[in-house]
Amino acid sequence: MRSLIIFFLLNFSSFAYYQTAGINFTRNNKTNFSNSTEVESGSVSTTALSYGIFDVARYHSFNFSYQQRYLPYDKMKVLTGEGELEPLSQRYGDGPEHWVSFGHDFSMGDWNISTSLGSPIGKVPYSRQNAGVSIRYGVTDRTILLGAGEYQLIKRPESYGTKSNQETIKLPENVNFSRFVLGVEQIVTSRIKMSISGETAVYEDERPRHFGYATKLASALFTSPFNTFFKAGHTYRKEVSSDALYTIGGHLEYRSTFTELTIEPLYDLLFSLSYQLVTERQNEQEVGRVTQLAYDQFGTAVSYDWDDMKTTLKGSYLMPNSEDFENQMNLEGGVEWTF
Amino acid sequence: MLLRIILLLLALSFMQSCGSLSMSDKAVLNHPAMDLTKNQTQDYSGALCKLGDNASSVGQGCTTCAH
Repeated sequence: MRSLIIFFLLNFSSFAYYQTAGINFTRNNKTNFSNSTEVESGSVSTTALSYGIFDVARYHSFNFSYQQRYLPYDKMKVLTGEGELEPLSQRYGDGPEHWVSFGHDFSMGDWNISTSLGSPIGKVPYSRQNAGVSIRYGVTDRTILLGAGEYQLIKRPESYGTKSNQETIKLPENVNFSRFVLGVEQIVTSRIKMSISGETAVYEDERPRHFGYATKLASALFTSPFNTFFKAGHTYRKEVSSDALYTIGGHLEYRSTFTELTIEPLYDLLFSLSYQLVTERQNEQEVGRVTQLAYDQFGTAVSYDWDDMKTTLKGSYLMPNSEDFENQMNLEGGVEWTF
Repeated sequence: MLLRIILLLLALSFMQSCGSLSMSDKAVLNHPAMDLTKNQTQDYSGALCKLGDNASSVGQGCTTCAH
């Protein structure tokens, strides 16, 4: 016990630590909510406050964040046992929702281990309590191995859904979600780096297990007339088609490809433009029906790093190929101070 | 096929990854625009209702979108 106390005294003594505090606003205009038998859209806005203390003791950093979310409960509906669509506002009022998360970061030599915990405070319709760990290990100067694990306890309001064969069933209210990722990040040349990772995840007793991979590439293209960077990536996920479906819908498949171009006309002033194409496919084997939805997403961002303050402004526009879903616009702005 | 090419590139790159990087190389590779864990403009962590966390869904029944 005494050695443990000495260990902590030695580690948590006066190290040159620094702190950050941030505030971030996001607004999603016309988020689409699939309400079992119809699609409605409404605005979602979030205010987030964050605080971090870094190198507070040898190898250790901590962070904390609080989020306040406003969701349009009147537009979000669940199917009742009587076959009627009921707005969540009837059960949960108008909100807002309060969420908190804590994180710890341990960095020593070639190792970096991050852990996180998150939960809503109070009653929310779609609750997610999560715990996660991610590990980065530098094998060489150019190669980093990545691993991550995540667990979530998801709670949902009592609701019903209609299967492909028109049978109405009660949907699970408590779902355990777990996800594991393994990957590698590799510096290919002094101006190119890539990563590739594989993942598997499952919503127990709700969805079949899915497997997937993600690959990304980043490249520093030019330094004249100003620094120019390019990034691209592809993600693929697919549910195991031989696994049984526990609830409604069909087996899902997801593809996403993105590209991003960033320029730095002045030191620490970044302008970015991006494009993403997402394709989602649902295969209802029972009735032999395949539904595909795709959308284009265009994004832009500007950020500037002042001496002790970082400011960011982002915007994106999403255009689905289905008339059922409306175009969406997301705006985000944030400031982070270091002191 | 794309996946095989990427894996081959990574393997070749790994085999010749003995040389150390200069400070200027590290400055370029650690630039925020080169961060592979997050993007400048959007979060691409997942979009499909059940396989990701937010945005839209295919077909009907996904009431947990945007959460």
